[in-house]
Amino acid sequence: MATDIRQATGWYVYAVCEPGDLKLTGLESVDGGHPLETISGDGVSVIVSEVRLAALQGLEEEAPTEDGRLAQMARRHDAVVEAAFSQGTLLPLRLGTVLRDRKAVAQLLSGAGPYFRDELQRLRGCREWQVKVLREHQSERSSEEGRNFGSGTAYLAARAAAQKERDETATKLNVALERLDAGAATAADASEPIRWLTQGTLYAAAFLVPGQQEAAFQDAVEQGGAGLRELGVGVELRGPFPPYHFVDAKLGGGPQ
Amino acid sequence: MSLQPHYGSQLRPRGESLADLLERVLDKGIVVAGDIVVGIADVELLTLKIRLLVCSVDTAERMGIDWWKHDPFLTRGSGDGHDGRLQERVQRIEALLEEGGGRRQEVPKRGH
Repeated sequence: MATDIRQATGWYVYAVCEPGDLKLTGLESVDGGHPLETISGDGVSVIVSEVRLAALQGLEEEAPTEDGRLAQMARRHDAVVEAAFSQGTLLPLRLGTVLRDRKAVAQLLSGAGPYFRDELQRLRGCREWQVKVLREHQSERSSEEGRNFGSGTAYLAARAAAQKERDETATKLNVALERLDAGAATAADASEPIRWLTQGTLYAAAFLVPGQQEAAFQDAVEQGGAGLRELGVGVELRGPFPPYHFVDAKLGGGPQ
Repeated sequence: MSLQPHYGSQLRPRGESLADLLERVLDKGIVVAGDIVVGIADVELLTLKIRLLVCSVDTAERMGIDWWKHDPFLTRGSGDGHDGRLQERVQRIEALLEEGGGRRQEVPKRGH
């Protein structure tokens, strides 16, 4: 018998955490219509909510907007994960993880329990920070643009000078970025590049930082950032986040 | 100079764009697949399909994402390891400086 998608539900999984009392009151599930709960087994817990599958249908066909369905779902997912993370170590799951039923949730825990425990131990006390270097302002238009050079030779000389200036700026930026990257890395346990870069981004990386090293990490970013600010680019330190960039497991088979 | 960390009222950074949010929650995190995942109405492929949507050139451009040289999920020839990351960064800086010098950075044509 075919399942009626309008009635069907699944179990949405937000994160894996250590067993204990989590305060998740006031937060909405991804579909806005079900309570959040934790299910425990094999020494770990997962944060879940039932979800109407119809609420997830067609998401891939809508152009993402800041207030669209995908954005709403992503922000609800993020709010749950961050609220739980503020209370203890956790392993975030990727947006859109929906298991068949409670039995499937139990299967996940029994199958991956040892792995989850090891990962929670590895990440205990650490938070993710992100460093982004951004071109703050549109650079000045090149000096040759819109000018009357009088001769082809003068035009070519101006172009060569502009190119030389760009090359020198690129070299200085690279040196300063290397310094920032290396300085931040010394105070972190691990780093990962951020690959979905927004326009104007020169550098973006995530750092896994133990709690006792956060002050040193922020100092290192501030020092590295000073050299970049002098070159006219902006430096942002964002966080703390759950360790999204530092969990990299694919459990089970199939695409993703 | 003083770098102020973007602390929110709890932990969330202020002013985070949808592109930044999706980079974290859609591109990262533990992936669960296999027969315990819901298999109705292609929901088991939900994450993959949304990623494909966000990574399409039109959507990425609209959201202000410049992923095309940097995301190994859909691109070939991305850098691998430290040398690759450095090479990517050099190319990125040069492209942005070139753009600032009066030319628009061209969006590579991609098939779907």
